[in-house]
Parts: sequence; C-alpha cells; structure tokens
Amino acid sequence: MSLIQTLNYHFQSNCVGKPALAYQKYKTLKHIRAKHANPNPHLTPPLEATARMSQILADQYFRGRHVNGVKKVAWFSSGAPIEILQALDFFLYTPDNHAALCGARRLGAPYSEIAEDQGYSRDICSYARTDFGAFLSNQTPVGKIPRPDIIVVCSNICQTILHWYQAMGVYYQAPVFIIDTPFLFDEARPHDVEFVKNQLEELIPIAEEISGNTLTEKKLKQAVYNGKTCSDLWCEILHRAEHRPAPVSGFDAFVLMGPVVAMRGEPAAIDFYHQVLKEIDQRIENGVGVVKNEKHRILWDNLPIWYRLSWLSKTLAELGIVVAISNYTYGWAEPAQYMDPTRPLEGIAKTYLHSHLNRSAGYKLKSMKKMIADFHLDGVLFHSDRSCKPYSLGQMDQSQRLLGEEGVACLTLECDHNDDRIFSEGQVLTRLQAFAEMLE
Amino acid sequence: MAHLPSRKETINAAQDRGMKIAAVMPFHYPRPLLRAHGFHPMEIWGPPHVDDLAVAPHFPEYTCKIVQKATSFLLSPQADCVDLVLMPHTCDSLQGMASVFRDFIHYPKPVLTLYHPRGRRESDRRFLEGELRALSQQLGKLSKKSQDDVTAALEREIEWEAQATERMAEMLDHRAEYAVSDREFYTCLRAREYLPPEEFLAAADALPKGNADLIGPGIVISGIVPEPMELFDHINEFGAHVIMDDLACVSRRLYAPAEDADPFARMARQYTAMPPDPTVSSPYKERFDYLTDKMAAKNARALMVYNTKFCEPELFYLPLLQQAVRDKGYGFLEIEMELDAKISQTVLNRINAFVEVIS
Repeated sequence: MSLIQTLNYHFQSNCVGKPALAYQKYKTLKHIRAKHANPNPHLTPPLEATARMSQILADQYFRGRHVNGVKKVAWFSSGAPIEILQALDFFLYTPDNHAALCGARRLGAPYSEIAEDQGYSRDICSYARTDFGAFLSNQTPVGKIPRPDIIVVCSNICQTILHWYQAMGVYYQAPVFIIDTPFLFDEARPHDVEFVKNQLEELIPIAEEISGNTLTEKKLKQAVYNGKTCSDLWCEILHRAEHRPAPVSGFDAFVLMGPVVAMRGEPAAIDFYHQVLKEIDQRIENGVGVVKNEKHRILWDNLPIWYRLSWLSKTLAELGIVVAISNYTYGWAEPAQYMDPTRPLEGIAKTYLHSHLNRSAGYKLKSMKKMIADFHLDGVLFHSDRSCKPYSLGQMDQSQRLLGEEGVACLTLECDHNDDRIFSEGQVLTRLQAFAEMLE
Repeated sequence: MAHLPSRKETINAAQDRGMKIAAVMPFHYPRPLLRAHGFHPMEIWGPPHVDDLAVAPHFPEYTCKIVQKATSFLLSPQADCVDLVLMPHTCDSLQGMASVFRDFIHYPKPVLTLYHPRGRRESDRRFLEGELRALSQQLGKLSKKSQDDVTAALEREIEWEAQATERMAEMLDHRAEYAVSDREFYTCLRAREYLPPEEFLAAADALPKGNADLIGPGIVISGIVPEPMELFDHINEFGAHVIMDDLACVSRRLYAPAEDADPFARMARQYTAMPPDPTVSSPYKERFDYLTDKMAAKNARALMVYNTKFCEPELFYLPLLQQAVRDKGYGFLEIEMELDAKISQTVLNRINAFVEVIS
C-alpha cells in the first residue's frame, strides 16, 4: 500500500465524497419532502430514511473507487458469509447489488446486450449478463468498480452464481473461493453443517494471507454479533408491515435492503436501520400506511422487477393493493436466528445453509402460508422470473396449493428481474386489474 | 455391430434377477451403491421422444427439456416399472425438479437425492463420503439388506464399475481401432446409461475391431447429451468425424481410480476426480486447459458444443471457452438443441458449413 494511494483514498472519501454525498442526501430529502407538498393520491411519500440509505450506499461505492492499493478487496455474493472477511478488514463489494442497481436504473438490458454480443446467452441470469456487460464495456453507474483480491461465492442462492463469479474471477484474474452449501430438501443435517464449517476453516488461512491480517476470535465474534444485530433489526422492520395499514411495503423493503445485503453488520447499516424503524414506528403511531386506501394486502414472491418498481408500486396502490411483504427481502432476516456469537463458525454455517433460496419448494410454501397468516394477506403475486430458476421452479405448484387449499388469490407474472426486454406494460396492467377483481 | 439389449429388455432381465429398478437423473451418482442394494440404475436423459404435456402444470416453459421430458416420462405409465428415483443435484433445474417431485407431486415411489459438492478439496471429499453413507442408509431401508451383505456386494460392484470405466477410457483412447461409425461407437458407449457393467463389457468386446473409416477432420463434441443420435450420422455425412467427446453422458464420467480401503471413501475420491465439468463448477481455466490439451493430443480440428437449451452451467462457459479454443487455433461451433426427436435443417446447414470451414 503506498502512502500516496492511502492519502488519496482518505482525501477522496472524506474531503470530496462526504460533502458531495451530503449534498446528494439533501437533494433526495428535498425531493421526498416535495412529494409531501404535492402528494400522490394513492401513495404516501417514501420514508425519509431512503435519503440516508442512498448516501451510505453511495459512500461505499465512492470509497470503492479509490480503495485498491489501500485495502484488500473481497467480492462476495449476496448470500455469502461476510463475517470472516469483515473481521479481516477487507473492503467488501457485492456484484449482485451492483447488478440490481443497474437494473433499477434500467441499465440491465443495455448491459445485457453488450454481454450477449460477446457470446453470452440470453437464457442465463440477467444479473450476470448485466455485470458481464458492465465489465466488458467498462461502464458502470457507480464510477469505478474495485478490483477484487479475492472472490468469495456461496451456492446458497443458486448454482448460477458460481459460474457467474468464476467468470468474473477469470476477467479480473482473482482467486475464487466457493462456499458450498448443500441444498436443504429437509432440515440441515449435521454433516451439512460440518461441511460448511470445514470450508469456512479452509477459507480463513487463505483470506488471512491475502489480507495480511490475522483473524482473532474477538473480531470474528464481534462481526457475527453485528451481523445478527443488523439482520434482527431488518426482521423487525419487515414485521412492522403486520400493522394495518402497512407502514412499510415490500417495495420499500426492496429499496431499503441494500445495506443488509451489501454492508450487513457495518455500524452505518445498523444506525440506518434504527432510523428506519423509528420512522416506521412514527407512521404506525400516526396511522399512516404506504397505500392510502389499503383494501388488499399481498405477498410478493421472488425477486423484484427492478426496472419497474415505481410503476408497479403506483399501479398496485391505485388498485388499493399493498405488497405488505416479500419473501425475497425476508431472506436476509429469517436465517439470522442461527447466528451465535459464542460459537461463530457453527452459527455462520447454519445461518448461510438456511438461506431461503437454499430451501425446498415445499418449505417455501409453508413459509408463505405463515406470512399469509402473520401479515393478514389476501393474495400472492408470483413473479415467475426467467432469470431465477431456483426461485421460480415450484411456483406453479405453490400457486395451485394456495388457491386450492387456502383459497388465496394468486397471480403469476412472467418477467425478468433485470432485463426489461420481455416486460409488456399493457399485458401486466391487464393482469393486475384482473387480480384486483379476484381480490374483491 | 452386435445387437445391444434395449432398455426394456434390460429392465426385464434385471427384474428377472430379482433386482428393482432405479430411475436416475443426470448424472454423477454411485452406480455400484445402487447395485449393491439390489437396484438396477436406468438413467433418464430426456427421453427425447416423450411428449411433454404432463409437465405443463409443474414447470414453466423456460425449464430445460431434460427436466420437462423426464417429468412427463416419470408421470407416464411407461415409468410404472420404476421402484425408486434418484435425483443427483446437478443444477438449479434438477434441484427444482427434485423439490417438486418430493413436495408436490408426491411421487408414488421413493425419491432420493444426492448432493455432489462443487469443489475438489478435502472437505468436499469428506462431505461426499458422508452423502454416500447417508444414501446407503436410505437405500438400506428400502432394500432391507444387511450391512454386511451390502458391504460385500459394494466391493464387487465397485470393481465391476472400475473395469467398465477403464474399458470405456480405453475405447475412447483407441477410437480408430473400432471399425464402426461414430453413431455405433457412441451408441455402445451410451449403453452404459442402462446396461449393467458386465453386459457393457460384453457389448464393448463385441464391437468390431479393425480400422475405422474416420473421414475428414476430427472434431470434439461437447455438451450434455447428443440427442438425437442421428447427429453423428450427419457429422460423418458432411465429411468429419468425432475424435473425442466432452459429453456429460460419456467422458465427463471417466472417474479416476482410487485405492482407499473403505469403499465409501474410495467412491468419494473417485467421484471428485473426473474430467473438468461445468455442473460441478470446475474452474474455467482448468477446463479450458484440459480440453485444448486433449484436442492437441488427438489432433482435433475443432470443438462443437451441442447444448441443451436453458442449460445454464454449460452456457456460462461458452464465450470464454470459445475464446480459449480459438486462441489455440481450433474451430468452434455452438449448436443449441431443444432435445427434440429431429434435428432441424437450419442446424444441419450450420454443421455442414462448419465442417467445410475446418476441412
């Protein structure tokens, strides 16, 4: 690490980045407050904490521009155990979040086209295509992506991600460490837990060597404790939507989940979620709901449609429908129950094995039924996501069961989380209107 | 070429010997363990001729045809002979299929799963050994065989399996010494998908020896499964021959021998030592080096990837594989197939043009 790089990193982060991001936060807040003055007839203006979230995520990306040569960089998949990497003081970056950010800014399709021009099939995950396209064209909305010194990828959200990250390892010439979490058709067996724990133990010396730091038990326990605190807060936030009217929606959660995915356990993320919780509690106290005329409450199954979040949120609100909860965002809350700072490696192994996406279609159905009861839901909207087979295979049976056995109205929309080329607004609108009639 | 028993004949013969039938999805699995428990494995790679109507209520159209057709097949009366289904965890699609069969279809026969680890580390081998032991316990509940009987049978079956694998490797190494067409050669190799190892060895022995009529440039065929098998006829007809393969159903299962005293440890070592394979997330470079080294050794002229649509593990490797192969001066062609019974004229034209280019 050179002195000049270090000085530049601190100068850019503190003297350039912080004021610029504070100004950005001010502008976002102003925009949100303007919505209070000129409100949407169906939707309450966004939570003010959203402005703070944009700031902390932007700060992370901003520091990432200058971090190479100052700190070692670890890329990790959104479901990967990051506690060991945090305890070794790596700068953390997750390509999944970057891909989602590109999707939300409608860059998913243009970047995908670049990847497709280089031979990537349109049938592979659009997150991967987005990130490949960004790399291959040297474009990104975050300025510059930090080069990885190590890539840690976990199979608990899909097998696809292993291929995606391995290709990134080739492009960036970085070592890739796979944490393999056997898929849970039932509960995790002792040898599943032992397997993941063994891999974590294999990761430690490799990560220590790359970081140049030594892992101490104290730091690891602290990282686990912080991660659990962060995820527990996230869980509390999501559960606030049990109130009628829902003070926070699934769409809010899609936006607010950034820190729990990318910066789980970081002090900034924990502070942020405390603020969010406070603001939501204020809404509950004032009887404010996300949808002004909340008539129906539904569950969103699968990843969001990033490029149409706002449109979907408004369209559903017009129909009196609030997406009270999504099992996708809940995936970063539910497994935290297994985190155990007193037995960190075993706790990490169990937590990441029990990721929502690493569980059977039957388990997912059971979990949906519980959400329907806990969140007082009338229906389920299934996003049949061409880019996410682990989530989408099983939905047809889940939908039939919910409709047939529970009498819960279900709608399936076949779309893609990042690639808007297969999204047809007219068709989706017609189907949402028909769904609203079903809910009546 | 001598007559190969059909799948139906093989099932009948196995049942006559008192064995039960295990339908097995692709593609890494412990054949000797199933046989030691008295289950004869019959692999399901589609099948291509099955219509896929029965699958409609369960899987969206963007699911690969192997899953679609296998689901339809298993739900059809043709699968009444099946006593057990084994679904190895090969990819996200087979994971979804296994989950749907266990949780929703409630298939009338036991559906067992096997997780194949994605690495080649010591922890992976130890885990796989545990998986194999767990599978053996589940099979034991069904077969009611004593552990001693199973252990003795397992030693014998591993030995048979090793002989069959060694023979297959030898055949592939000496392809030119078999006086049969590519289609006949691969039909014999693919008979391992349903024949017991001893019968496969007999079939291999019956394959006519002599100088093969290998016309034109040699190409390497890669992918999951070369269906329909007429593909080989067309390659020959256009003036090329298949000199080697990187197919999931054939060469990716050339497991290296192992010598551990414990049969489970031995199997675990074997099943984590095979040629690089996308479905177990082999590192890209390792796979590219393996393939291009083999191509050089075999004097191959090109690589043809014959891919099943929506097969993500294969698709991810393609752009970088193409670059690696072309950088070494070889030709590259990717064909995407729907696993239907007929190859379209468009695909045939592409193969024809490709052969002309590399000739």
